[in-house]
Amino acid sequence: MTELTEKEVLLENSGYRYHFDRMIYFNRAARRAFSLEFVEDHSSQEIQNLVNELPAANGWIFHFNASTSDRVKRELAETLSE
Amino acid sequence: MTQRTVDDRLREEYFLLSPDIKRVLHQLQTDVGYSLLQLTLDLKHHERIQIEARAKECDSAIDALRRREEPRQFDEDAAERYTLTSLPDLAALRVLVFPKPRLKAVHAIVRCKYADWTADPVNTGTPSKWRAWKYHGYCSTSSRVRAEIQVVPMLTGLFWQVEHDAFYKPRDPILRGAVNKPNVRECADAVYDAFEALEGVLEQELRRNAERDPG
Repeated sequence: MTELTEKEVLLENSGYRYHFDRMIYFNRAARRAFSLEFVEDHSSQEIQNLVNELPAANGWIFHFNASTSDRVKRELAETLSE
Repeated sequence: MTQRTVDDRLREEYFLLSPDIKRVLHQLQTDVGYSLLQLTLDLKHHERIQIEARAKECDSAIDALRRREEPRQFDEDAAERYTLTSLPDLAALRVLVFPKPRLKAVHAIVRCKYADWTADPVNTGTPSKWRAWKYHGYCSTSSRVRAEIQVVPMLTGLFWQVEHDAFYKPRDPILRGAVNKPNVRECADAVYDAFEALEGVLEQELRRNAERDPG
């Protein structure tokens, strides 16, 4: 199993699903999402630490490598909440 | 009045670029075909050189630009950031070659003709393995449309055609993006490795046969 597949297993065991269209791992209950690029570029331990954090009081938390505008985050949150 | 979306702007740009895309493709196909003419005429009966040309379709070009964004979504507040001219493959040529010694010869000829183009070889897997040669640049016919040339082992190239329909452009939306999932990538890499091993064995057999029967 490659390191990337291990990270995928880690996320799926923590209730994250892969969104084929957006290429992100997301968890509605935790209101948290990781882009595929972010997962590729961060260690299993870093991802585990983020997965262990408590959900945000309001809205979603997105983990992307590049900065993303509030508008895009808002629209993405709507899509993932549907 | 309804505001134009990034998609709307890009569609307009595509139709403005469309004549250039066709011209670039025509030039590229003719130049590469002519450069490989002698080699093609010298092929033995089991050897193949196949040149495929394609102009990226409008929706496909817009999707490719969208996929560069991490959320796979355009930022409508920054519409000016996006242009199809940033894509490296609006016009593209794929040269499929069998077997490997011919592949090297084709690559040497094509690379020599397009020596100033940017190399961007296709590597996959961990550790990363070479799968195909790829380079992009501009033809003399257009300074706006970038073109791409791929020189690919034939078995891998034919697999890409199946993979393209099954994963990149599936009718079932659930499969869209599947090709980038780690477990799918791992299986695809195993297929590439198997093709490479098969080509290696075939090459060995051909060499052995030629030694036994030099005529």
